[in-house]
This record gives sequence, C-alpha cells and structure tokens, in this order.
Amino acid sequence: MPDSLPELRQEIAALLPRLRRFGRTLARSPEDADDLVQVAIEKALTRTDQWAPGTRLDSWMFRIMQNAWIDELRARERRGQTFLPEEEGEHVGDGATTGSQLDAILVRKAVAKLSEEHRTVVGLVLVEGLSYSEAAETLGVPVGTITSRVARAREALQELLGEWP
Amino acid sequence: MTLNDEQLKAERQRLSAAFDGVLNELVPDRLKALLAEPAPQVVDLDAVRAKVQGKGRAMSSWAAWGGMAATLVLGTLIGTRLAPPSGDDRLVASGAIATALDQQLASAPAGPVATQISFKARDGRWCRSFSTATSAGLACREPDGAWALQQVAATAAPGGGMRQAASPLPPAVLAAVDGLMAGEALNAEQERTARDAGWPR
Repeated sequence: MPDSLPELRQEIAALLPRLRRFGRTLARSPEDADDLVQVAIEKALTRTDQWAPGTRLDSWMFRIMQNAWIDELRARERRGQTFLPEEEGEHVGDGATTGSQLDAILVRKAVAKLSEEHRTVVGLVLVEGLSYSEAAETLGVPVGTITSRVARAREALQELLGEWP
Repeated sequence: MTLNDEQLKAERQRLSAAFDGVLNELVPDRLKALLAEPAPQVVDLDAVRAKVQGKGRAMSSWAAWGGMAATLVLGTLIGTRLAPPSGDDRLVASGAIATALDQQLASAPAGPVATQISFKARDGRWCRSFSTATSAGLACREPDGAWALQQVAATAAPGGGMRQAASPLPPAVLAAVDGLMAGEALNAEQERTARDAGWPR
C-alpha cells in the first residue's frame, strides 16, 4: 500500500463538503452529485501515484470529478437518455419560504440551465473560488478559454435571472 | 474596486448563498465509508492458510484465527453467519449466502445475495462468486457440500444512478476467479443444469 494513501484518505475526507458542493453545481441533482463524488473518490484512491502530499488536492479532485461527469454524460447519451435540466426536488422548511431561500432556489435552477462548459467554470471559479489559472490547469485549457467562458456564463446567468446579481 | 469587480463580488456572494448550504450538510455514510480507516481488508485466504499451516497448529476454533481473520469476518461480512470451521482451517458460507450459492441462478436474483459467475476450478470444485450490499467473494464447493470461501472483500455501498453499471465484484475477487478458473465460466443454461444436479463432482 503506497505511503501516501492514509494521508490522501484523510485529506479527501476533509474535502468532502466542497466535493459535494462542486458535485451539485456540475451534476445538478443531489443524488447524481453524491454518485459523482463517490466515483471520483474511488478513482482517486487508485491513483495515489498521481498526487503528492502537500500539493493542491482540490483541483486534482475537481478534475477527476469533471472527467467522470463527462464519462457519465456520454454513457447516458449511449443509453439514449434524454438529458433535460432536471427539476431539482427542493426541500423547503415548513412555513413560508423565506426570500433568501427562494432566491437560492432560483439561482440554482438558473445555474442548472447553463451549458456543461458554463456550469463547470461557474462551479470552479465562482463557487469553489479557484483562480482563472487554477481553473485552466484543472480543465487542461488555456487561461483565455476560462476567461471567456466565465464571461459568457455570467452573461447567461444575467439573462436567466434578470436582475443579476 | 471597479464596477465590474463589485459586480463580480456580488455575483459570487449570491452564488455562495445558493450553493454553500451543502457544506453544512451531514456527509452521507456511503461517502465516509470510502475513506474510513483502516481500509477495507482484502485477505487472501490461501496466504492465511499457508502461514497458519506453516506454524503447525490446528486451527479448529475461532479464537485461533486472531485479528486478521476477525477483521475479515466481522469487518467485511457484516450480518452474515459463518459456520465454525469443521476441523480444518477453512471459512465456510452459511445462512443466506450458502443458500444462494446452492440454489440461486445469476439470471434470477432474489433476496440480499446476488451471484455472478459459476465455473469449475482446476481442482474440479464448483466455484461461484457472490455479492451482498457490503461485501463480495468467491466460494468453492467442497466434497462435503460446504461452500468454502476463497476470497472476500468489502464493496463500496451502491448508490444507484451512474453506479449501477459498475461491476459488483472488487478486483481482488476477480483476481481470485482468474487464479482458480479452468476454462470458461458457465452460461445461464449450464449454470441451471449444474444447480439442478446439485453441483455434481
């Protein structure tokens, strides 16, 4: 067993909430998001040789998740599953939905309507807070590509949400 | 801050408000389980047997197996009754697993145990793979009718969705299959024939 495996396991465990958050941006439904996180963790644990303790784990895991998501989309395409933006089952508390809860729902629905590319950069840059160059490295594209994708994603959100922010 | 910077900051805040809720959620058990210490123990029973026999001790009681087998038994075969070894150093399946190995066809899953492949080992024994929600393994039928476990491993809990297509058999079990199999795995018809005949030698 590689020496870094226990450390990798611990670090991934600490990262779980953020992995789940990125999963929600990417995969939209909470179930798909957790499935995606699970697949990515399993892959990561077999690839300890690709990660050195002390290096950025989050961008490495986000990359694995993003590639796994692409694989899943292709598999769904092959299975002939029509892929419409899912209606996220919203769990709101008893009593009146607060204005901020409603806003959160609207924002998530809008993000869910974005293209895969736009949703990915929104997730990495705007939600997970990666820099443009970190996001570029995660996705294996030039920084300029990230810049333009983020710009267009923000425009798309502006259109979907009217008054934005 | 320029207007665009302020705008971007406000956008990020609104996105955080929409997505940060998940950060405070309880992490599902199935994700935590992937990272639990110690790692799921995959124990090669032949290696254990060889070690044990080398010490020249009769291993006829559970107590003699010690920590490694206890981890194997308790950690990876949760909820399964295992019969005590009958005088030699083998672990046998019992309960729902034994019943499934005796009776259940891969084409007709029913109940908590699933079977996948059946084949004849090089030493002539019938061997079958099985899986439950938490573990998977390979067992071979001994002359006295007991299914002796050759390999067991913990599996990640199923999550539905994109997980459904994945094989339920962990690599260690597949490797054990490779190591034992003579020829090809049985097809559905052959499996039914063998099962109906009571897995004849």
